[in-house]
This record gives sequence, structure tokens and C-alpha cells, in this order.
Amino acid sequence: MADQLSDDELSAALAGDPSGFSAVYTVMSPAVLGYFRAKGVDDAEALTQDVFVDILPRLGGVTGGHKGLRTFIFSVAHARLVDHYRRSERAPHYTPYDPLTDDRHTVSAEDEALGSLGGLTHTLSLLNEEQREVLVLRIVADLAIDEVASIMGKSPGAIKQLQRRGLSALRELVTEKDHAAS
Amino acid sequence: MTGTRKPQQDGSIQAVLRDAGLESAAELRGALENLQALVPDQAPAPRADLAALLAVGAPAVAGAGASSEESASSVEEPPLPAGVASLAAHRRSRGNRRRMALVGGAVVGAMTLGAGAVAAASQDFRDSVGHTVGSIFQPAGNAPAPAPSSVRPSPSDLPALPAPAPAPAGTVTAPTLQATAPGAVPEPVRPSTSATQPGLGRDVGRTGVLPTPPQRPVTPVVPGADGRGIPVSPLPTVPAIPEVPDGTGQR
Repeated sequence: MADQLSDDELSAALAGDPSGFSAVYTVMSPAVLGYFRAKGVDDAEALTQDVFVDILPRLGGVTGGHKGLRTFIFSVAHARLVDHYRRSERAPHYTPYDPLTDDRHTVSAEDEALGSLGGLTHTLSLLNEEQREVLVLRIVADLAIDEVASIMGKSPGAIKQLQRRGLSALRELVTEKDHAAS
Repeated sequence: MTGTRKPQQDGSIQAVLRDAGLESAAELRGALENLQALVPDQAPAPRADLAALLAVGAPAVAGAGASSEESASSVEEPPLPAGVASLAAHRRSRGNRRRMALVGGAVVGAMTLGAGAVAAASQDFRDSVGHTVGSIFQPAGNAPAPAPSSVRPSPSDLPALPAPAPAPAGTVTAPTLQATAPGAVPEPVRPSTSATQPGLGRDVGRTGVLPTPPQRPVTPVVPGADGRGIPVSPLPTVPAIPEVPDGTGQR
């Protein structure tokens, strides 16, 4: 796994040369996939591949080197996620399954294997939508404050504020959970 | 899984915590590390269309010595997986389609302009358009207005009827009739009142174009049939009387 794009691959990709596509996909797709997973998307891999099918032919117009490429990819991913939520809002609403009325209980093997990880997306979903978006873009997408601000269309000061509040809320949720568990 | 994070990525968590002034919050750091662990180590296996897109670049990487244009052209040749269309070909066809649409639009526009010019040049078309436009706009305002205009051509057609009628009646009226052929209507009146004013008759004929239509159905039919006995009665009733004084006043 290549952690960073080489300069040759980057310049090839930003020149619109298809030879850089594969490297861009290999390096960037895990972060995009993690972003969608953190946002609780059902089929995160399909959405990730949609993003790359969309961006790879358009890399020729991207400027700003590594940072510019990362910002561009996550701005497309952000827009895709918004589209995804809108589409799912319009989709027919299914009756939710209520586990309390179902007595066939068994422990989820995935939750057991992943430990606390299984509950993380649930904890995140309790946060404010914008706070969650800021935290995921900062931590999972590894973007700077300015880049997050440009993706979300806000000022850097507003992003800092959202980040601080989101972290405080997350801390409360985590400590509550720990107390409940112990 | 979470233990294998790279120090560089831990640095981003550190930076986020430092920004918020929560560096000492160990439980928060654990949660953020879990969040970061959602990023997989491996890129997901690309599906067919994405694989095709990535495969376009792969041969070019192998033949890095060749120029990019050559590699691009050679790349389009290798067969793609079934059910997968090359994006390059799609882009080209889209450009062709756009060009075809442009050319088609230009041709249609030029033909429209030409047809419009030819139509505007022909007299018949202009007349018919003027007539239809007039008939569209006038009936609402003044309905009688178009009626006389449509009657106006009829007097030129009608003189054929009164002309044969007075001719057998008397030789005196014949010259006046021929002189005032366009204003044929007042003539049956004039021979009885003053046969010595052919000039007046001409003036009346020209100036009295509008009053003539109402006279025609009355006078030509009656005197044409009975001759000189009746024309005395139409004289006072018909508008021809006011016209005669006008003619004398002018003289």
C-alpha cells in the first residue's frame, strides 16, 4: 500500500494522464471508503467507486498538488453523500424492524470481533450533523481546517468552532458509554 | 487493527485535540483512533467500469517510454471486459454528436431565413399577410370599415350591369355613361336632372366613391328595368342630390 503519491504519479494524474489513475485510486480510495463508513452509508464501497469513476476523468483540471487533489476528491465525495441522502429520503420508507418485539436474540459476531468499533458509528450519529462532518473530514479524510472549510462552504473559524463542540459532545457520549458499560 | 496506525496519522489526532484544547482526554483519543480505524489498509477491489478506467492507465505505465499520445491511442485498441464501454470513445462520440447538433441547427436556421426572405419578396404573400393582419385587428374596433373596402372592387365589376341597362333606354345618356364609367352609379340619376353636366358627373363619380355602394342596389335595378319614368323619384331620396350642389359650388 502506497501511503503517499509519488511526484511523478501526482503530476501525471493532475495532467489528466490515465497512467496516474491507478496510483490515485490505490492511495486515496481507503480514506474515501472510511469517510463513507464513518457516515454510516449502507453500501460504502459502491459509493466510493462512484466517486472515483466520477473524478478520475476530471483530474486534469485540478490544481494545488497533494492538498488540492485531496480536497477535490473529498469535495466530490461530500457532494455524493449529500446526493445519497437526498435519494434515500425520496426512496420508499420501509417499516423499521423493532428488535424489542423480537425475542430471537443472539450476539452479533461482528460486534464481538470489532469490540467498541461497532458502536462508534452509532455514537457519531448522535452528534450534530455538521459537527460529525467536521470530525470525519478532519480525522478520517485527514484534511486541514481550511480544506474542510472550503468543502463545507464555511469559514475556518466556524469549522474550528464546530470541531471544538463536536469533540466536547463526543467526549461526553464516550464517557457516558463507559460509565454505562462499567 | 487500531494499534497499527502510523505516527503521522496519530499526529492528525493530536493536532485536532490540541486545536480543541483536549489533549489530556484519553477516552476521546481512543474514540478518534477508532474513527480513524474505519479507513481500511487496502483499496477496495474496483468494479468493472472503474477497473476499465484504471486499466486504461495501466499499459501506459508499463510503456512509460512511449509518448502519452501514442500510449493513449494504443490503449484504446486492447479489448475491454464484456459490457464495459471505453470512456475515451464515449467522449469522442459525444463531441461528434454535439457537432452534428450544431450543424443541424445552423442548416435549419439558414433554411428558415431563406424561406422567410422568399416569402417576404413575393407580392401575393405580402398582400395576403396584410389582409389577414387587417382582418385580425380590425373587426374588434370598427366592423363596418372592412366592408366598404371589400365593396370597393365590386363597383368596378358592377358597371357592366348598369352599362347595358341605360344603353337601350336612351341615346342621350350613353355619352355620359361612357365618360363616367368608373362612377357608374349616379348616371341613371343625372340624365333626368341635368344632361348638360358631364363634368359634374365625373367629379361626383370620383369623390362619391363611398356613397355609391348603397345606391347601387336601389337605382340600377329599378331604372334599368322601367326606364325614365322612375328616375324622378330616386332623385330627392338618393345622396346624389347633395353631390350635385357641391359640384356646382366648386364650379
